[in-house]
Amino acid sequence: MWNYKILTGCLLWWCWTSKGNAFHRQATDPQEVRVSKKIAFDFKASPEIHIYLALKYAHIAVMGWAKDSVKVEAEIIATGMALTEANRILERVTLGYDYTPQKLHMQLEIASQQQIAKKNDNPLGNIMNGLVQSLISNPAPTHSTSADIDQHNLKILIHIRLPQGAIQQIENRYGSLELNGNFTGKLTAHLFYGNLKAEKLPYGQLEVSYGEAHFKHLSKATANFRQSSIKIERAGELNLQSSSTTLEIDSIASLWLDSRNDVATIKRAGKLNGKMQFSNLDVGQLGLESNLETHFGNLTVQKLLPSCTTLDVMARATNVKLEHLPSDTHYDIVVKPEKWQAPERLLRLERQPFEGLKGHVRLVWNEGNAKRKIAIENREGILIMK
Amino acid sequence: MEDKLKTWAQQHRKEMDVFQAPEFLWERIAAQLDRQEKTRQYWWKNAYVRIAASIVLILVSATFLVLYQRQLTSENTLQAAYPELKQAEAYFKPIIAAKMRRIEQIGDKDLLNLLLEDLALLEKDYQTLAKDLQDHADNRQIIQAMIANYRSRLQLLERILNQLEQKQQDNVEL
Amino acid sequence: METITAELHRYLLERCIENDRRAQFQIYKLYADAMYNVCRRMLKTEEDAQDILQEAFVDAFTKLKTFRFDAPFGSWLKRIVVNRCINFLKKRKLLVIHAEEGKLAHIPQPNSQEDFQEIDWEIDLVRKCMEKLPEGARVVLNLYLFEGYDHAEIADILGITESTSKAQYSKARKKLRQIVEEEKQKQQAALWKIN
Repeated sequence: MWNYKILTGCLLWWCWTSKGNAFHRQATDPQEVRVSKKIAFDFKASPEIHIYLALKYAHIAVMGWAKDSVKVEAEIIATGMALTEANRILERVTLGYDYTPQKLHMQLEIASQQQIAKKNDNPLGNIMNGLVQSLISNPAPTHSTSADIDQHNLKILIHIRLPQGAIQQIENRYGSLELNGNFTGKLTAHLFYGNLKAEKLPYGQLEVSYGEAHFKHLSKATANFRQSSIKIERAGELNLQSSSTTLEIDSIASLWLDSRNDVATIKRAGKLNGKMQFSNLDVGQLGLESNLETHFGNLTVQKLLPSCTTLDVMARATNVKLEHLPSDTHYDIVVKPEKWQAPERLLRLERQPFEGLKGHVRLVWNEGNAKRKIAIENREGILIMK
Repeated sequence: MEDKLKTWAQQHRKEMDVFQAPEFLWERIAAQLDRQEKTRQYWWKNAYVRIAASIVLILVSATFLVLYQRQLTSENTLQAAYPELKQAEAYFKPIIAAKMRRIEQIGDKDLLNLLLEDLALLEKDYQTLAKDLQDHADNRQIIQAMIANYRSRLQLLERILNQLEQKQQDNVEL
Repeated sequence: METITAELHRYLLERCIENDRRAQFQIYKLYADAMYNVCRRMLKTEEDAQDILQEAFVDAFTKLKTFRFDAPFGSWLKRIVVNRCINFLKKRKLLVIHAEEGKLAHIPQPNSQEDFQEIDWEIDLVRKCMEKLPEGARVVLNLYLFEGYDHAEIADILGITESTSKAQYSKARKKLRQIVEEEKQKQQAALWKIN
């Protein structure tokens, strides 16, 4: 149905044995064959062309260039234990595409295959045995598995060059996406078991699950990260929903956070608002304001910059730690006295019972001129101030 | 003969779902269910009805159990083709169920709901993986991911359970 | 793979049977959007779709005890939703399906290639155009194309024969194509006007 041209088919195949004697067959030697097909095309495009990619198993590299054209090169590589097997995989896979100067669509189509016979000597079975075994003694291992498992039967390499104003919508599973160049258009990316790397994005709508992402500069983005590891060097405004993710942000102007089960480190934040459950959040420097609602987990704020006006935390059973207590501040604290650690002078302050909450006390005091407000209400949680 | 329109429609099935159910609708449903329950309640107070009901319940659940086990033994082709998946499932499922019960005992309901949401997301991922397994393209990675999916569920439960138990312990000690 | 769904669902559904509102809410949340879309496709107006969705969920929770766990809950629920929609249309006398067995012999099988391919089918346009179909044709087309029922099932749902369903579908398909084409022409004409 897709009229695409195959420039080269069945390009190469090779085999090897574990001992290095090629072509010398032994019963136990693994022998793999690789076949591939390539497509390539280019066309004149509008500077704000819309790109839609719906792919799987693809390693996508996108380059933004200062030309009004699009250039695509792709290679589908299949690996099998024999030539026929590799060819069978390759036959089933087609990369459909379709373009006008205004839009480019590309999608992967995999024809369904009748039941494939299961090989009895699949090494995976044994490895899995080991994995399950090791889980019994240690329920949460993160050890990597043998190289065998990481081999891909199907791999798709795609290289796209685009006008920098292109508006991109990319969906990819079991692959990766890398963007290079100064894009000025919006990126909508949805990655599942895949990595994402971008240098400079003006506007992003990002969904990453089970992957790693690295952003050098994100101006504005809405993101949903799950079960991932994310590193952002510099960000403007980020509306983030994340769970079970390791998040590292060097510097961000404004973050709205809805976090669950995350481990997050933010070195410098201007505004930091939102809620978290079961998350560990470590904030290095807070520049302007923060309003947080926390449920379980840990929250550490290392330092408030002189420009900071508000830190308001409503915590439930969270371990809250506030370091480098600033002066010129109005404090309003609610805590269980036995769960409160603070410098001597603060422990001597007058305490009022906190209405409606048994065992909790409220302390209100000023240090210097009250230029800012720190309010922490920690129900059932530990509060450390130093 | 292949019906291309049908094929096309199936491919774009998801895009047809453009509407979101309005938020207020649940309130209306809950209210209607409340009303129904009130009118039905006295009926349950009859002791004979109750005894009869429990007998029926036992019979029905016994039937379900048999059906369910039969379903398990005639397991679908997916697990049959990948014994390691079956193995992982056999290992993780009872542990997950036990942790779930434990959390249910000590956790509050809001927490449980959040947890169910997260588990439902993981379940959705599992379904995606299972679907992509049909590609027969990169199954080793996918099988591994499916097993990891079970592990994630367990980790999620364990983490929450730890925090809850920690909190309980703190309260006892102090 | 169904077993985990089953596990999670079982857990929730068993609580639903005990009238645990929170579990019911979870189930509602899991299915509301999908089911609402089913209603919207069947019923056109927002208000009707909401009313029917409400009735369907109340109905489902009330007779959940009769749900056999050996079938997917989603399809069970969907069947309730679809039936409710059909009843609603029938009550309003909107849904009239004439048996056309007599004509069936002349109705060609969908000759897919030419009548599908040359149009660039767009989902939004199709949705819009479907609304212009006569009610019976629209319902059959929708059930077959988007709700995933086959003709035997549609016959069962609508209380018609299988061949009537097929005939209706064939008719609807042709009509839809015609409307889509007209609509496209209109769009193009509009484009020219702007230029």
